[in-house]
Amino acid sequence: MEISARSPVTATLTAAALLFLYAPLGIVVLFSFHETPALSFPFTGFSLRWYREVLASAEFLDSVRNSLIVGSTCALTTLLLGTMAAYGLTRVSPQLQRVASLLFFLPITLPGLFLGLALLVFFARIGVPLSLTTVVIGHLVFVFPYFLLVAYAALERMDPAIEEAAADLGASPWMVFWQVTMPQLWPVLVGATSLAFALSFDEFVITFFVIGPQSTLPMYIWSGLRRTIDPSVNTVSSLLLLVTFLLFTLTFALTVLRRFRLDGV
Amino acid sequence: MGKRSSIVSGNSHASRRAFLKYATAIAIASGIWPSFRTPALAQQKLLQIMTWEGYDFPDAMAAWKTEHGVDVQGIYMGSHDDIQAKILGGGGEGLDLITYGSSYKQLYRALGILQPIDESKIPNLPNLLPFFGSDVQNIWVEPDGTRTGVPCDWGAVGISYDSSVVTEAPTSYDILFDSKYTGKVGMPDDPLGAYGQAARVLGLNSSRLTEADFATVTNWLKDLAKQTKGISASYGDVSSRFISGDIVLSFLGWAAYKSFASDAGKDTIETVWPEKGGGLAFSNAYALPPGADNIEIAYAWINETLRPEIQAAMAKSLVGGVVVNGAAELLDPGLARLYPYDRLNEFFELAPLQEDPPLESNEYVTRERVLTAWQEIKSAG
Amino acid sequence: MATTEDRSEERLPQHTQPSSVLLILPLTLLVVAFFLAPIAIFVAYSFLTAGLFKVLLPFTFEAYRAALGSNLNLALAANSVAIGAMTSVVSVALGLAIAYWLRYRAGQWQLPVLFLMIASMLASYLVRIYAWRTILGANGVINRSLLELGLIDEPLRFLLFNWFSVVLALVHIFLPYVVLVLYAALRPLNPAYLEVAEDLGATAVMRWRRVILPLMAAPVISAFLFVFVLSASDYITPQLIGGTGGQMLGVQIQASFKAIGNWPLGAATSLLMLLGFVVCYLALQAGLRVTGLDRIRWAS
Repeated sequence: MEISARSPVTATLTAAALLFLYAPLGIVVLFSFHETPALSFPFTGFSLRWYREVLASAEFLDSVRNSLIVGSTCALTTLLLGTMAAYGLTRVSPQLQRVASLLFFLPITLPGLFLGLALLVFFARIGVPLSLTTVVIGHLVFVFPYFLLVAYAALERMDPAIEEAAADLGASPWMVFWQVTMPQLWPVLVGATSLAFALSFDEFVITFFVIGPQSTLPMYIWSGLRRTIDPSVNTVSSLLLLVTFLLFTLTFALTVLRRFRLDGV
Repeated sequence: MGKRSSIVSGNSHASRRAFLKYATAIAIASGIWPSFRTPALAQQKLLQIMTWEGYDFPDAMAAWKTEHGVDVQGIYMGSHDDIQAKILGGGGEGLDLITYGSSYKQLYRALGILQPIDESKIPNLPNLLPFFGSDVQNIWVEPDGTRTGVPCDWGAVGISYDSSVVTEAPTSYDILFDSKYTGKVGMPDDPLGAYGQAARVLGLNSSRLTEADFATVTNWLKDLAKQTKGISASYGDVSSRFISGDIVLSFLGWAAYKSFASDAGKDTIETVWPEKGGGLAFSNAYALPPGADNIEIAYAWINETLRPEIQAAMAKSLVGGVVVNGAAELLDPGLARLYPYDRLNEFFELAPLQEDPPLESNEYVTRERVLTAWQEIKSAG
Repeated sequence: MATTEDRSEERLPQHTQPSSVLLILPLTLLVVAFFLAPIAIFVAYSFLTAGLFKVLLPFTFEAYRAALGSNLNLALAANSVAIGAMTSVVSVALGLAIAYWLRYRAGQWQLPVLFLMIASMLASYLVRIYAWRTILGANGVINRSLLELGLIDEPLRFLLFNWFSVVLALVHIFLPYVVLVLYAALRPLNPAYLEVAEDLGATAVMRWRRVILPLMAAPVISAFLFVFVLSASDYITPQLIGGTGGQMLGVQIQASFKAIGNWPLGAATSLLMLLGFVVCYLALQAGLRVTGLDRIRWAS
């Protein structure tokens, strides 16, 4: 990293963007501790009532569990199928690549409502009972284009010479993928998989139509909109952020520790 | 910073791989990977209700569920239109109960969503208050006597206002057009309600609008939309805007706002039904959808909800009105004052149950026309 | 896997290998079975006569005529395009700067900042929109601060419930996503290129114009397209903070499907929207091909 480290413009923009992204999240967390159901100022006092309420509500916890099941199944399936497809796309002829890219772009061009209703009618016609599985299918269709775009952007730009060199040295395609491509690709894949999870975890338009007798967290959240929405929703988002941050910090700390150990040896 | 980072990046491959490994291990160890819960006991009966959030009454019906070994699965809709879209799309399988609002009766009858209800299975039916037992508007009982729904709650909308800003109770709908309040008026995304109420203000009936009347009502609503900062996605959203101070007046103002706002620390939201224009009442009713497969339990559920004690508990959780005799007496003072139970018939003259425009008609403007025009009103900034 | 074809001038494989097709196959099957097949039903619906929440024979173009003939649809479509374009321009411009900083300037901050970007996606969409209302509303953070400071006497009411707040909320939703896409695309680009450019005396502006932007053209276009499509077809955000001036076409589609029950009209409007997006997609891709910007690869 020998180019000049000074980069005031982009650094300032990044800082501003983080402020922009986290100011509303700060509000979200703040109001999760609000003593009244109001989600607007004045902030009258702190209370843990929404945390108690959420953690005591079987329905709420059920819907959170369903969302976790759907979100993680969807994210991991997307990771598998999406990585395969992105890798394959960089290795096919330009014509096929163009056709496949358009095909994989299409699902985001239709409103979720259209997709949800079309899938509902489709499942009803072919006699598939609605369940969390049909929800996962619906989410897959809507989530994978995001994943693919990210993964493909990284793969497409990679220098094929490195992979070729590895292959010339006798590495099998499998070895090339795991030992040459993956080490460069994984942060991007982790990010893209997190996005897939976040999108699925928050989806409710398609979900409503293709779900069976279960409920997911966003369905629960949005149904509250008819009366008033209260900070219990903030509570769930805050808890989710907290868990994510803890996981990351722990992972990061362990990585740093390990690096120090390696450096010491 | 550049220097330090170059040192770090020297070892970046090993550390990134380590990061990935730890991330996976921690994610698994911390149980983020969900476990599948064992299904409910086989002898436990399952009642599936598609309704508004709260209308499966987790608290009010808790004792009954335990006693009868019934598991209730509430499937919550985001808007009333979700019910027909899901059922007609083929997703109604396994549903045992739904609720429908009074303004959806005609539509649901035409769509074949409402199955006949056997009144003999609901011994508590005579508990209904005279108004809800009589059913002059054929919302719960067809003209031929077939019952299609059992009322569960009711409520009414008029003009809601923030008395800290609008210091005198509105006596007319003209106040909504006062230039003082431009941009501070709320209106929920309820097209049938909006046409129903606007027609009443203009001395018309939204279920029998001629072309000329329709144009008058539509223009009135467009002018009103200009007084708002956009139509709220739901009644709850109007409530949030009152609480946050973004609006001080609302068309189709729901009496329950007072309670929602007061819970949120704002004690100044009131609702009135002015002599001229009055208001509208709504009522949700339980109904059997096609393909209901636990009908006996569904009947037992409906029957239970008609007991005064249960009604009082339901009204409390919904901030709503009760529909059976002997329930109003059991309400908290605040809730008992929400609607005038001592002169209900008079009140329903001032705020009648909302009816919807005809589905098909050569004489009057249809439901589809109203809903289409509403889209224009929503964008009439 | 590497063959002689792979070493052709443009470093693009000219022939498809069976193993690569196998890699694409599972996702293709998923799209065919659970996207194209269900959509085919609704494509057929769009050419049928509307009943109440059902479709009837005969075949007709009535739905398309109605969708195209509605002035409201055209106005809402224009609104959708404007809001979509603004959202994607802002997201992509900001995203590119951030991705650049992350890739080349962040040092040990790279991973934490990237994480912060992505983690912000985990808060529920609805909650975040309400948070914006808490910030921008009449009693919101901004108005209260300005009132406290004595800069205004009356709350500013133009902050919320218009297209501005819609764009703000949409950028908030899509920015992390754009950052990730562009960071992914920059990742394989060795800092050495920029060093060379700098050694040759290139100023920051020149480095961006001559090196980064051409190299990033393809992913930037992709990111732009994605954000454009998703924000232009959104119909939840406008309903919650859009006001009357911020309504978009998706709201109309929702009404056709759910409230009115005119499935052919809803389907036709959606499919016309899809067609519009596909045209944008093809036009932008063709633009990249004509300018040759899609062929740029990181040479070793």
